[in-house]
This record gives sequence, structure tokens and C-alpha cells, in this order.
Amino acid sequence: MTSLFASAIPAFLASLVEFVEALTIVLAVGATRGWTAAWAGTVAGALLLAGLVLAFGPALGAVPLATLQLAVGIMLLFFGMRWLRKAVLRYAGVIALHDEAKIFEREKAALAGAGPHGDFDWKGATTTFNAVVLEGLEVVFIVIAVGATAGALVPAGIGAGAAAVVVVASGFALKAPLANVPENALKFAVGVMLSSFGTFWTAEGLHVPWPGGDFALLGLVVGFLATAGLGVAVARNRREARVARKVASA
Amino acid sequence: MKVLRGIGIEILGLFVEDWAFALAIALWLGIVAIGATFRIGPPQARGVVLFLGLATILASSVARAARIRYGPTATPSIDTKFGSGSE
Repeated sequence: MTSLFASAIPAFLASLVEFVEALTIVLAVGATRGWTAAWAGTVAGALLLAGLVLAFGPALGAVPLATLQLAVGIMLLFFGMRWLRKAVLRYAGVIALHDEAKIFEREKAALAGAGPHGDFDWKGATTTFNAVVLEGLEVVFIVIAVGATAGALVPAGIGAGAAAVVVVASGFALKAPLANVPENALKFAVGVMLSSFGTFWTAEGLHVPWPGGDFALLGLVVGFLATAGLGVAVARNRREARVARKVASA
Repeated sequence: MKVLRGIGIEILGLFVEDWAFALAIALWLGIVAIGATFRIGPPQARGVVLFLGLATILASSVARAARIRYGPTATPSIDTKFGSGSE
């Protein structure tokens, strides 16, 4: 039950975001260039990712736990804090929100003007291949990161697989990008979780004991949540103060 | 070579977007690692110190970004990029 919450849920939420982004591109290619190329690129990308997981996955078992905790913890910290920082800046209105509907339209327009289709549409296939590999690499990393150190790769993989099923089924049922997914809220939540896991495992890898043992993880979640909330308020205030100053001086 | 470079940039983009932010995290991790190696301070305080430093880095980075990025006419547009560096 613990591994379900510690691995499957973060993997599900984080993968959901990545699959939504990949699906947007696949749908745009399918709608403009045809489904043969869209599927060919998608399947090739998925096979490459599966090959990478099969090639490198078993090697994780040979790495000492403390080394694995430290390496994964540091990667999670950089990855999670990058997501959290960006989600905070988006909530504060400092940077733009991610809009799948606009991405869909832009990709469609770009692909429609990309020349004749020919016998096999390499342009369309390459576009979906790139999208699936790029977003899929993030999913693979998330699954390994949240599953490997807790010894819960299977629940993490199930979480990511469930996200794939939900997104693909919804996307093809609607035949439109999933524009209503609260992407920034998901990234904010996952950023908090990954940053907390990253901090916890980095310290464990350095043989630093936590007050309260594993319960310290809950404290870290609360701490990062509070910091991110404070960050939104501070960034929003600074942005508004700057705008007010410039308007007053104009 | 060009393809490998592209893959390297994409993978790096998974972890680093703002170099100052990433460098601050790396520096703080280094300081805490030195503290842990040489057993500086009470053991159970080291994890708390690690978190407090990271929280400070996050808060100061977003405050800095808000100060630098936003001008009076720069209404936030919609982010329409895709890929590892865009989210």
C-alpha cells in the first residue's frame, strides 16, 4: 500500500502530463498528414523507449542502494525543482501557461505547409517519433526515479501505464487534444512530490538521518508546498509592483 | 555527432532550464555533502539544513525571475512549444 502511494501515484500524475503533450502532436500529425505516418512514428518511438528500458533497467539492481539513492535523489531534485519553479512562475503569471489546443493548431499549420506527402510521409513520422521519444524519456526517467529506490518499479510502471491508457483512450474518443487537463496544477503537485523525494533520497544517499525516519517525507511535502505557495505570492507581488511602477512612470 | 549532441541537449534540458537555479542547487548539494562527509553539526539537522537551503533557492529564484522577466507590456502569452525543455 505504501509503495502504491509512494510510486504509482506520482508516476501516474507526472506521466499523465507527458502523455498529454505527446498525444497532442500525434493527433496533429494524424489529422494533417494521415494516420499511417502518425502511427509509424509513434510505434517506432515506443519501441526505442522499450529497448532502452530493457537494456538499462536490469542494471539498476546491480547498483548499491546508497549510490542509487544519491544518484536518483540528485536527478529527482533537479528535475522536480525545475518543474516546481516553472509551475510557480506560471501560477504567478510571470511565464505563459501551456496550451495544448494552441500547440495542436500550430503543429497542424506547420505540418500542412510541409510539402508533398510522397509514398511514405517521413516528415509526419519523424514528428511523432520525436514527440514520443522526448516525452517518453521523461516518463521512463520518472518511473525509474520514483520506483527504483523504493524498490517499487512495478507500481510505478503500472501508474505510468494507467496514465497512457487514460490519455490515449480519452484522446482518441474525443479526437482532439486534451486541453482541459489542469496541466499546471499537475506539474505543481508532481514538482512538490519529486522535490520532496529527491531531497529525502539525496540525504539518505549521503547517510544523513532524518528526524522521524520515513515520516520526514511528509514534512518535506508540506515544506515544499508552503515554499511554492509563498513563491507564487512573492512572484505575483513583484510582477505587479514592477508593472505598477512602469505604468506610473510612463 | 550532431544527433548525439542534440540528444545530449534534450537530456540536459530535462534537468536544467535556468542555469543560475541549477548551479545554486548543485552548490548547495556540494556544501551539504561536505558537511556530511566531515560530520559538521548535529546529524539530524543536516537533512533539515538541506531542505531549508533548497527552499530558499526556489523562493529566491522565482522572485528573481518575476523581477527580471516581466515588463509593463509583456502580457503573458501562451506557451506553444513542445518537448522536454518547454514544460
